[in-house]
Amino acid sequence: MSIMAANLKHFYQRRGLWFWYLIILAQLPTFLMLYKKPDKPIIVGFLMINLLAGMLVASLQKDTLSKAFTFCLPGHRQLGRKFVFSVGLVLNIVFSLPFVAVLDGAALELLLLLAGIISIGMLYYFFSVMFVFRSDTYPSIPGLFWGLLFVSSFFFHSHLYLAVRAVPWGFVLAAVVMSIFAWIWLGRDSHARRLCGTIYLDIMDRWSVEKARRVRQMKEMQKRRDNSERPGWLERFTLSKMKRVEGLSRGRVLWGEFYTVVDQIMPRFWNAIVGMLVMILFYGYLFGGGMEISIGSRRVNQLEMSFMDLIYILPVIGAMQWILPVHCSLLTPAGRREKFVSGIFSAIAITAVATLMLLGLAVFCSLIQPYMPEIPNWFGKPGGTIKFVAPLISHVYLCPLLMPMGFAVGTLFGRQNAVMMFAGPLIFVFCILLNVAWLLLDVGAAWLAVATAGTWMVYVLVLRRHCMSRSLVGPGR
Amino acid sequence: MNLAKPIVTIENLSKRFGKIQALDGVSLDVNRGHIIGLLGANGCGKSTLLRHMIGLYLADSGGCTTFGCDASRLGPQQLARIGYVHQEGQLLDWMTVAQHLRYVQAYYDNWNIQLQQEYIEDFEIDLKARVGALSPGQRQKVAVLLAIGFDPELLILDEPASGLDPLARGQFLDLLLKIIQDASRTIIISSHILSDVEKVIDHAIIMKQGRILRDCGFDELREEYVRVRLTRAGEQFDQASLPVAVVSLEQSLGQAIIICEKTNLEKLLQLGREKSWEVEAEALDLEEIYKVLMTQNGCSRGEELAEVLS
Repeated sequence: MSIMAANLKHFYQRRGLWFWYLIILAQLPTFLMLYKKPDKPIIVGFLMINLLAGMLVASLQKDTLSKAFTFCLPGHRQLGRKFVFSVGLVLNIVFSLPFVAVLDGAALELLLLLAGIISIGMLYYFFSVMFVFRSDTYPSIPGLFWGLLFVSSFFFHSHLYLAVRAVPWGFVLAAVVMSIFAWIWLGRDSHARRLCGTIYLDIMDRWSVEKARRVRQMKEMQKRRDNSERPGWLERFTLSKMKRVEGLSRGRVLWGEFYTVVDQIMPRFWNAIVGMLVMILFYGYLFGGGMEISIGSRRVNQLEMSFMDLIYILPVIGAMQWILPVHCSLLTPAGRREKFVSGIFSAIAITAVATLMLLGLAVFCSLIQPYMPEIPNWFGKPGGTIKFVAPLISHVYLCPLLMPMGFAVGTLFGRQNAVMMFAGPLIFVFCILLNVAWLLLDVGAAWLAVATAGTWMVYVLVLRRHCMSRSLVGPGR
Repeated sequence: MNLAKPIVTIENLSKRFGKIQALDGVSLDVNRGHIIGLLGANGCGKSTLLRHMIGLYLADSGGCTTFGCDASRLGPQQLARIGYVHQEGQLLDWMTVAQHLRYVQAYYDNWNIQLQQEYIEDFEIDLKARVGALSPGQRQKVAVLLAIGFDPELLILDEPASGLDPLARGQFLDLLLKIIQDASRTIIISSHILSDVEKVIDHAIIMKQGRILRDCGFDELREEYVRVRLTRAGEQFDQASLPVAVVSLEQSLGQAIIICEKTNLEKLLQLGREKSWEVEAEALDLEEIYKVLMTQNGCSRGEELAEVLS
């Protein structure tokens, strides 16, 4: 089988790609809008497809090169350049055809314009391939460039289209130069040496709990530079508690599990705070532009907008990926009953930490809200500005309300990658809809308490079934 | 402590994973004071059986009792008497070796510090290294230390030596012999490296396709088959002319090497005397016995491997 054929087979053999095909399919409606506004075609979907396709192709190639055995296979030290180029060309030719149908002009002018559109597509495609190929860790500088390109495509796609119309030959020239550079760069042996035998989390196996665990632990290990033999304060505190418990009892096991859970969270605590703060700032400005939406007869203003509550819902996705200490990673003297109790204990500890962190961030953002600058709204009404809006502190209840759902999904489907692939987006959408429903129903504190107790009860039942009647061997910590 | 009572009793245990019958009506008693070798091809159910003993798997039918308690209900008191080395050697990768040892040590009141220190010196374990940064062999050494540090009564080792170099394997086997000097201890070791295992085991359990082929003392197993060398210049040995059932026959002009059941040895000696053949008998090693058993049970290594792969 040729290298090209082997690479093409990946496109239908790798189940991890199916989710991304759905994302690519979601771009297709933008092509229908070409017919609506033929004089000002929307090119954003075309650019997105190229970015996503570049990402998939680069990830496939990285995945192949990271397998140690491929290093010695003939022709495999070089990236599948022909494969990368062929996919890019075919993709761009196919997706540029709808533009031909809506554009007017002389044949030569039309041809040049079409070449310009294909060229900008190829430029995006190659940028995506190269950025993703260079980013082995998350977050990374090349990954940041990829993200910037992705976000800016939404804002500047019409400007780009106007530029293509004005100077199509300029884009053709740039694409030719880029192609030559990419051909040489992709053909370097050094890629294979860099990637051979490495473990990294790919877009195709983001849902692989076992691989995610290995990569996470590896990254944590690299980050912890202090290899001194002196125990830290957390270790001293918890281990002394363990030893204080008389004999080998459930109390000792629980303190032990508490230690491993918190010891994993601690190094990521500040990263999580900074990450959440960035997201709050982003959403705070994104939804602070005086937007209002109507839901039925009711107008929901910006302060009530459930989208701002994304901040409180995001930890649910994290909870889904969290591997509870119920699997056999290390045989500590914890029986099934102890594993069940420590599973609840860990979930409560994580939820408490997440809720307190979000509460602190919400309070902080409320305090700085009056001092945050207004940003000119370049894409809206001339002279308009965007204000920063802090998330509502009172909505912090969403975190303890919804976190058990994440834990329950993770416990039920943690070992089924295909389910986890779609469970994340689905639970996210469900949480958003649930939040909107809560707002519309104007639920009171009593109902919230009942609902929170209900979600925790569901989690306890799921965990109990798992710990008492399922195999405990599987991806562990 | 009743030394005569089995510490693990398995009765008619069956476990199925989808279409694969991992264990098929296995019954077994594990007695104290033995080093038991659990042998078999990949996928024959060894790890599944061991995981049932500590309650990680739940049986579809039948049952497993460990230390007199249903294995699925083992609590801290019972589990604190079991040391277990996992095949994949999963540990808490983000910790340093020293931190990991302190963490596991905190569970047990009877942690053997002296053993730990000797082990660390003998096996040259770097206490400052992160567990995730260790080589597979080093990880296995740490996993073994974590399993033996509290002097468990039952030590279950699932492929413990596969990542160790020959020198470390030798040290490891010596360590097992040292541990077993205490008559109340029991070790169950599952391994593919039969030449190593045979140096330490005194009891063998051989498995094939989820069933137990043999469960007997190792000496008893060694007595089952024998290799016999028949020599006479110019003689052409024919299998049909031999008065015994032969497991294998290799012959060249004037010499034949046969493997047969040891009960047939007397007949061959008798024949040798009658026909003036030179007859030499020698015992088989574990690897040869294993191959014979597999052949005798109608499955060549290639077929077995194909079954495992399918």
